[in-house]
Amino acid sequence: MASELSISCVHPGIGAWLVDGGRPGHRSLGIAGGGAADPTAQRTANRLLGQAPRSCCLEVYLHGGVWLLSGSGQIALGGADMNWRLNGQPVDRYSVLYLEGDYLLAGRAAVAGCRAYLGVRGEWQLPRRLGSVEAGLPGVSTVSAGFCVTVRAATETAFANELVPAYQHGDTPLQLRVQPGPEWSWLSTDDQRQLLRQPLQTGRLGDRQGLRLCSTWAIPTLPAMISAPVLPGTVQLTPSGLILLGPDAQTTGGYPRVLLVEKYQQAYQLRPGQWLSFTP
Amino acid sequence: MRKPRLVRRYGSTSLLIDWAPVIDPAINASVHRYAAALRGVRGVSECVPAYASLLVSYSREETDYDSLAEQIYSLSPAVGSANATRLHILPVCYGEAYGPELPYASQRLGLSEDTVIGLHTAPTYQVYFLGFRPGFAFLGALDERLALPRLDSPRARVPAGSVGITGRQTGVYPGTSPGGWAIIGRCPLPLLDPGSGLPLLRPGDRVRFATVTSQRFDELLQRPDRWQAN
Repeated sequence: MASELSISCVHPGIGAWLVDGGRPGHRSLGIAGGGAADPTAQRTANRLLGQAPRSCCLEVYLHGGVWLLSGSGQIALGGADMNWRLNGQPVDRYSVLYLEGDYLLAGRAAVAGCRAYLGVRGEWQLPRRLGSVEAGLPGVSTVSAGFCVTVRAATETAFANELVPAYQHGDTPLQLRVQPGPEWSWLSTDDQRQLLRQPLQTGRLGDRQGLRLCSTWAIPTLPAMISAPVLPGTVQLTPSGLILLGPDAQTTGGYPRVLLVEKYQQAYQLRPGQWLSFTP
Repeated sequence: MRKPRLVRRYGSTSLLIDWAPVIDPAINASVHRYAAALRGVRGVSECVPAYASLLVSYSREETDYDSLAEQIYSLSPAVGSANATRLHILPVCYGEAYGPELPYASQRLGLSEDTVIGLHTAPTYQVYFLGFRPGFAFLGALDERLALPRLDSPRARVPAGSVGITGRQTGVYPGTSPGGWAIIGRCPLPLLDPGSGLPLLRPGDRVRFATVTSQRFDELLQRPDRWQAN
């Protein structure tokens, strides 16, 4: 049965983004590949809703915010645990929810993970540029208080649910496998050892471009370099510290690329103040 | 045609080709010829050129590092195989609110503001590559008399169209973004197509700047189609 659900942003929390499959293949035009910071959570929410893995979702960072859902449709919440409530009642993550009427969906501060995904079954009625609804190009929508979108679905999917994934908790460092970056050899053996041994703390503001990593390590001064390509997962050594580049990273950069992290997405579910460490 | 110095892995699905790490038109032209040649190779999903290096991403289902590296070493892209270049003449209103760092640049460089503008509009620049933000073209070579260091503390918000200079480089910010270059003017034309999102400037294109008054700037901001310089 055809349905239509409108989603209005009452309060976006710390930050909310529209994400889909991003814009792969346009990096030579300076356009980031984008996509969900936690593609596994996005894929699972969309699978529950019986749609393509990279269908549009709302990616909400660190705090759930407040959303008005109106009409009829099916939604699924994935990713971080933000104590989601529908009209004041706790709701399950990773489960298809049926809506009919007006609902206030509200989340609190994330307690496990930091990025949550609101999936809705159907077609999000949003402008697209180079095939994607994501921010970064003129004419696309950005999410702030007052933003509103309609999602239309032609059919319904059957109820489904999934086990909730576990995220890194407490002070235990998340171990990330790394490979040497192009400028790894610019570091002294001592600095290389330091970088692979010490735990690093994630910085206060995590945007989708880069995650700042703090440490007590005395940052060595490396020679200047001319701008060269970078990818999400590249670890840059800047004068103010290490940055682990994310899905919206710039396509080129002028800081030494000391390490490459294959599965950098896990780090994008760490809350500010949590720890990670690099292992070869 | 300059041959690259080094091919090496960049993670498990990309590789990096490096030339001598300098800003040089001949080296950069070679980077683009290699990019054009490799875009047709089976398994290559993306080529990202910069000044003197080229990132090549590939699908591991279709190829692997060793066979790609082998093909790269045996490539000899023909001179002139790069796409025909286009010339863009971009209108710029220099100074005042449009270029808040023009007085600073003039003072720091020991040149009059008119000389700074004259030296900036004289050359035909080459688009070395696009990076930093969607559609941001790194243009060179800027006259060495205009070489300035990056600002000590980058501006948090540089308006779209701002024309910046630093070192031997110049560029136009396509959208509002943070920026660390000295802003000397502003261009009223959209550098990203409002309909498609595609950038106006492409690697290998050539660019010249032409002075316009603030009145003409305002007019072009409303009606960019009235700019007929090219």
